[in-house]
Amino acid sequence: MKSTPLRNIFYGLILLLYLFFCWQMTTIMLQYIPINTDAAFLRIKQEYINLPHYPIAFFIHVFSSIFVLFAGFTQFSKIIRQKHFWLHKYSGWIYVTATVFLAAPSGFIIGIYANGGILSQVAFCLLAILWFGFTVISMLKLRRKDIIGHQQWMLRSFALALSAITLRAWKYALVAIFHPRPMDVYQLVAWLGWVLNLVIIEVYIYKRWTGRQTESSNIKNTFLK
Amino acid sequence: MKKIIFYIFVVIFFIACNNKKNNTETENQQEIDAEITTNTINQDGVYGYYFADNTIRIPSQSEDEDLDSKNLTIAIYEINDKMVAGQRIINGSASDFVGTVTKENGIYLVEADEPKSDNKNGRFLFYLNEKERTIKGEWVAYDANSNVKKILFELKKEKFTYNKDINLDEYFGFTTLGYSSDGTAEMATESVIYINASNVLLEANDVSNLYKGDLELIRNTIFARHGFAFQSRKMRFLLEGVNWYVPISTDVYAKLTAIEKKNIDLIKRYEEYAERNYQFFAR
Repeated sequence: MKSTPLRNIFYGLILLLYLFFCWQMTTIMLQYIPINTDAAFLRIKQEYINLPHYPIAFFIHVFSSIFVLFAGFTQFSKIIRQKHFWLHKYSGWIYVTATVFLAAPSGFIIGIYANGGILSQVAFCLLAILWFGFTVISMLKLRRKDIIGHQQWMLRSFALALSAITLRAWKYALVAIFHPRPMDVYQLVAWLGWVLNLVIIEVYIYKRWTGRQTESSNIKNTFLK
Repeated sequence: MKKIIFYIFVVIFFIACNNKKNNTETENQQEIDAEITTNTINQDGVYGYYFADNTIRIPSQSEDEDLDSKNLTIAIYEINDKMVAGQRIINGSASDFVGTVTKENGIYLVEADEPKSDNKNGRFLFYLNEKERTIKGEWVAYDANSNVKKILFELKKEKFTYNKDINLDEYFGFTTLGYSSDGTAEMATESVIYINASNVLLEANDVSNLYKGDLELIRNTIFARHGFAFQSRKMRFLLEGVNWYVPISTDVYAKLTAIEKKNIDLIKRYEEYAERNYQFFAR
């Protein structure tokens, strides 16, 4: 794929959009600083706030997600991967640590108590398990020097990480258009927010690798360029 | 490098663990501080609440939003051949009055003054018919330039009783609550008829799927059952046609039952959550 000005503008816009959403996520996080168990979303979770593990898991989830989002996106830059490999390594380390040890397990715990009943609880818990699993698989692939496998599973992992943004974006759009009842839309986006991401990335992976001759040594295959 | 990042996580973890109790109770505390003593009054005979929604008012300036509501309540605490003591409530504000009485053929002619310290107050001149239990008369503002210069009224005695089982009429299921900034109407849904927040302890599941407008109405209906005189123009307007509603007090907090207090707290949380999150990029 050739690098054209148009393509660069397109990537620039994507980056700006992504930064905008990351900023939105940061403001959501800032609502809980200083640590407040009766702020924002937690205002309607007071029935669980006295469980010792719920607030701990909640705050871990909120604060680690920011690291995941910022660290995760750098991984798709060819320049960083090739010319600043140390950055790829370190931000990758942040992404994997934050996901596997913090965000995904805590997501599972708060998923158990999710709003919207069993339907959204299953959605969030399944999301947490898959996210954890995909990230671990990707690192195992890397250990076996299977770079393509590493890339593919990391794409899946990041697609799920992005659900933090897509879930809220879907909710915003659905509310603006249909004005649904609050928990109805919540149940819907609990699934829509990540399943669609996964479908899109599977199609991408299929077209990118499975569709053509796979060369295991083709390390130059990259996401963005 | 790895170590630094690891320590950042550890610090965040400990901050997260360190949170304990905080200001859940401050809000309730403030409400308790604001409360005044219960004002249950004697409603026997001519004593009690006189109320009507056919009050006529003569404003000095025609464009005044307070004219939207026409509810006026006069409470007669004490009346004899010589003097009267009572309270009037209009648009959520109350003022005591005292005055002189001349009684003739079962009709009290009352001349009464509200405290002159507040220039929104005024002077009453009315007839109280002992047999028919009606009041007819006028109220004139002290301040000739005030928005409402004069109110003409005909009131009938209404016995006020608190009934926790009473709920909004069926038409509230599709009534317009207001208009949002983009001009779309905010409609109530039938939830407001079926959910009574005074006689049942509500759980999160009962209220989590309700629109903000419904929540607000369900919560305010608790206060309405106690005869709360709303200052909120929206609530006054909505409750104007409700036949059981008699505004008798500007502070009913002390009269709320334990169930009602818990329900108010729960509903308020979901209202705030809806307000801050529903139409935004958030959960």
